[in-house]
Amino acid sequence: MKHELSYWEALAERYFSAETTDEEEALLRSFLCSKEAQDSRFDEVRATVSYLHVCRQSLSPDAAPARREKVGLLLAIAASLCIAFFLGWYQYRQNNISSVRVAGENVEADASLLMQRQMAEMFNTPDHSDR
Amino acid sequence: MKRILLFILMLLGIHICMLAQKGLAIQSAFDELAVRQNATEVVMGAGKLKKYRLRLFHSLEMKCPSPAERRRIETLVQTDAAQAILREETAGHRIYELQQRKGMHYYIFYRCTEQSLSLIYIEGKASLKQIKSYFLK
Repeated sequence: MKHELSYWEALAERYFSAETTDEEEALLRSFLCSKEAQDSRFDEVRATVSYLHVCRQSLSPDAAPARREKVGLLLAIAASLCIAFFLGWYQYRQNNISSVRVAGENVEADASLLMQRQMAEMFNTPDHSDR
Repeated sequence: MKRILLFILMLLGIHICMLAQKGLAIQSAFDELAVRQNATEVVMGAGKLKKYRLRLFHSLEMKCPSPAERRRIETLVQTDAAQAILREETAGHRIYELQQRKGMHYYIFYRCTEQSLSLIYIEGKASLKQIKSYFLK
């Protein structure tokens, strides 16, 4: 049902007088978001309704858990990224590893040369038989 | 939140599964014996093995191994050899190829003489024939 602007002006006045019902306030909120309500006559009521709406939302009992959930989600995402970064770094390090350890101690030696010698010895043994 | 935690755990699980030679008996040989005075351990990653088409080279060489050391490694090698799909056993060396996964070959090389013992684990795309051609002199 479409009302004249005078109806909404009267409703706004009743709103400030605290004479409106919940249904009328809901209607007024919807109207204030409409194109017809973009008039300076409704600025005051729009500001008041918006302010109260925001206050109600932030003070509602559901708001705090929602914020906690959001923080938790952000922390979980940050933790996932850290772990992914660590695994990537670990994989990169493993890929480029080249180490020689004697008696469990790292020593400066050419791992590539040692590998070639060990593999050559493995194949160049007596009774070697190639497939 | 729970889903994200589950995702993190899955990520860690996958990574652990990807770690080289995990699940093989010879891992114990590298863990236990590489710290012995007569042991030399060599580890090389994919970055250093590109020209050989390998992803991992891990060896354990022991000079004058004691009978106990020899028995221990022998047992571990035999355990893994039981699941080999291909084996080459000569008086000089033993080579076992394990089950391939996604085009990746897994080899265990073992050689034991009075003077030395070598245990080598290799992962890579190279076939045994190619590996031989790279290193056979």
